[in-house]
Amino acid sequence: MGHTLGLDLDEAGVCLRALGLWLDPTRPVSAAFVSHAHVTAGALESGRVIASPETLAVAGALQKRPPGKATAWDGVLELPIEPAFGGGTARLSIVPAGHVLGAAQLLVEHPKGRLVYAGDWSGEAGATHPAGVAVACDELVVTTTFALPIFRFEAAATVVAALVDWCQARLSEGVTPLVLAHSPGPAQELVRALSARGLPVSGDEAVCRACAAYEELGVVLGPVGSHGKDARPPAERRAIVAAPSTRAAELRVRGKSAVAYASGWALLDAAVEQKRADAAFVLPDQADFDGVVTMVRATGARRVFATRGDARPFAHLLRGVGLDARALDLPAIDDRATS
Amino acid sequence: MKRLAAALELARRSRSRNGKEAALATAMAAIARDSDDLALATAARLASGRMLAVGDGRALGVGGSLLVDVACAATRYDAETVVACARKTGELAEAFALLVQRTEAAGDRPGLSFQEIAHLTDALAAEPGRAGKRALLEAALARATPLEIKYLCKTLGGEMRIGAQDGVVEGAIARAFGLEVARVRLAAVVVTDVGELAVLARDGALDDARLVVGRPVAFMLATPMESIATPLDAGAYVFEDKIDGVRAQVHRSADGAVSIFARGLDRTTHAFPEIVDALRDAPQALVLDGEIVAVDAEGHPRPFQALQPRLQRKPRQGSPERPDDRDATRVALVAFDLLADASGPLLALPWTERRTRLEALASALGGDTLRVNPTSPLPIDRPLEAAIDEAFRAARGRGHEGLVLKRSDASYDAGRRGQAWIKVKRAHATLDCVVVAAEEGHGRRAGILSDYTFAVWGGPESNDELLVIGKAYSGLRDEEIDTLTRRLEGLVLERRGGVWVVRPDVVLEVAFDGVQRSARHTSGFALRFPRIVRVRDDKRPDEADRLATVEALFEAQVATGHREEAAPAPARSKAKTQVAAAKKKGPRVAQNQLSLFGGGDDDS
Repeated sequence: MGHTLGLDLDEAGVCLRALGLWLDPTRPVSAAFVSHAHVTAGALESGRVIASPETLAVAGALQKRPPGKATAWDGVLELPIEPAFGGGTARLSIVPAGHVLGAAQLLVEHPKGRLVYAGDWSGEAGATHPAGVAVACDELVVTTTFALPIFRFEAAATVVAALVDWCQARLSEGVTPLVLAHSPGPAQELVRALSARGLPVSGDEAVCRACAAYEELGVVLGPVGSHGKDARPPAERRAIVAAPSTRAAELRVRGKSAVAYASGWALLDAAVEQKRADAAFVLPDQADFDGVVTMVRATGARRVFATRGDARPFAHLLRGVGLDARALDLPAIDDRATS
Repeated sequence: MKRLAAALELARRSRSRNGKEAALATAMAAIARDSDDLALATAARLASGRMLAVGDGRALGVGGSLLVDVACAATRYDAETVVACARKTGELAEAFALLVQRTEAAGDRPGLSFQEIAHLTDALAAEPGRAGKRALLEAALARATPLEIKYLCKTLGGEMRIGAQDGVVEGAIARAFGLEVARVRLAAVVVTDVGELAVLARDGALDDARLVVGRPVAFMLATPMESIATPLDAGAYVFEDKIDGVRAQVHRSADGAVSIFARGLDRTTHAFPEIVDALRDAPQALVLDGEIVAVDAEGHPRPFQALQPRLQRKPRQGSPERPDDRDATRVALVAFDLLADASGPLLALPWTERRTRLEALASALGGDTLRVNPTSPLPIDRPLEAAIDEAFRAARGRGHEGLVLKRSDASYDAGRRGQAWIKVKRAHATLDCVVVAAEEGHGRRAGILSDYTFAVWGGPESNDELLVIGKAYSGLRDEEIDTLTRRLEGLVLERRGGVWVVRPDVVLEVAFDGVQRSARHTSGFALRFPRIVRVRDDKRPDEADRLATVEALFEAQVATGHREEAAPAPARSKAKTQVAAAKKKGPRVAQNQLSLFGGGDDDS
């Protein structure tokens, strides 16, 4: 039997067929809910984009152009339910998801109950965003980025403080600290913390664009210089914050430099080695395994759907503690055509 | 062990060889100061990723599935979760340690002593049953700290991969005991057990390191002709056919005990009982270097494949030798060097002297199982190129792989690849490549991994990038494909559709009809009609061929007019660095590696 709202997974991602709505799709669709600003660019090219005002502002700044037909809203949005699914109206609203500035969960209230799409979620407040909350619901859709018991994170604030110490120590040795951190999110937290310590900081192009968007939204980060690929390196030694995909060599740092990788992924040896990082800081922007399980329990959801990454083992673990959980697996990808 | 585990973690994290050596040296010096020989030897072996000494014929019989069971018991998670976690970290050891870290009282674990680890090693080797092994491991690991578990399980799984190969451990030993690294290296070629090497180094007794019959020494290796830049002094060289068999070092001690070691210095005595028999009755102690080949009823060499069933034999638990193990495949040892005889080690003698002794010994022994590889001087009455060409064609005509040129005045440089021995394989010979991905076949081969994407190394050092050079479907027998499928399944990093991205571990010898420029592969080259000659179980992935060899083969073809230098721009895209990172394996790598196949999205 199908799901009440037609919860399903296709090549674009998770969708609610009854509403004609995709949740963080990976490609343009007719209508997309975008939970946070660093989603795949394709989602923003959808016929209709609905997201929080902050998400739209930051995503727009990152894409260098505003999304097409976008709805920034923080009230209640009503969408008709397809007659095939019983008709009527669904009331959509958003709730903070933690994670990054503007990150939102989607609450769908419909005639048969409440469904929440938690997206990338963190219960910890940052300096640039509020904490995510657990929303009471009947059904919960969670993404499973760090949802395995190997992932146990310290409080982000503690890690940020350690990172700032590390940067300060490098600068005092005459070494340029280069921190690879996801942006928007941890990168801006870090820029803010470095500035607050009075350390000179620059960002790469993507980090700077997101910082500017944050500032425009009234989130004060402090002065941040631009360390573009084409820009001349400043005479003064500065901490540099760059996206994790950056290769140190591309940044043309003058003199000695040391690379730190700051991410939840830095918990994994292979991830750190791949970044060729000198130091690793496990700086998460999402809840760890225990955090997600706690949130799931707190929602009181009768049914849990896990999607992305480790959906299957996570659903298996939830069933092990007595929850009705299942995995929404990634659709099959046919690689033969491209190999 | 706590101290060593911490040092191994530090060494793994360090990006410089210097940092790795320093971390290990500090730990080894401290262990040497506070503990006995056994502890130091065990620590040195663990540092180089081994529980057992090189050449120790015993097998521990601890596979991945047994370790998963042990991890489940220790962490109270089921196999599905443990395996999912291992997939995330890229290996069980790291996931096991992280899961133990969250168990109650993880911080109160007392840790293991090196004596306990040495005892565990012996007990595992002696215990025939899976349940018994499991009980041993569970009891030992229940006391181990998470970091100790990480490095013990890496070692048990044969996957230390902290960038500390023997060279680094030798460097660390030198530093720990204030010795010159060159002296340690020199001793290491004859004392191949790094544990014993560490003890000798601590005792200032490296000068006592000598070849001991029954203990393997590093093999002397040949440099490919393509890599020789300086002109050869033809008069100083002799040549031999390059035999397509299993390189073997055969030791016969004064009391008649025979041991056979393969190229990786593993003991393979059990596989060749007739060679054991043939040498047991030798009049004196000796150490031979040669190739073991399969022969037909007339004594002619058979293709390498004929030896495969022998090589896949496992030693019987508790009794490494299987003297009754014969089958229809006749084998012979084609000896080409003598490293020791009753008078002692001969490594320092010139080749001519060793050769004279070898021939005398062989003729005294008689029989058909031990032969001596014929040798001839290089003719000096014509241009060197022409002389080598003619000899090469003759060798191929006799069914051999090519030639090996040897300097007649050279000593046996164990462990060295120098100009004293030069191998001639030529363009129409083969390349040793590393498998980086595999695909399920079609039709009869549906469901088994029969199509292999393989790569060569990009730079001069082993720790660099793998560049894809081609894909081959044919050459192996069904049984070989089955064995390889099972092996590759254990190496899978990511599976998408029918493509399995695997950790670079399997080395294939690939034959082809030529090399051409190609934008299709990251190496910038493609092979014409590649086919698999054999699985090189005796080679580690870092011993596979390099791009420089491919370039030289290509240049040679251009020079001889076999190929033209019409070059599409090589496709050295992002994929190359991603494959390079695959050596270090792991989930992020796995995801990135997929861009090899045109897909893959990085961040969450």
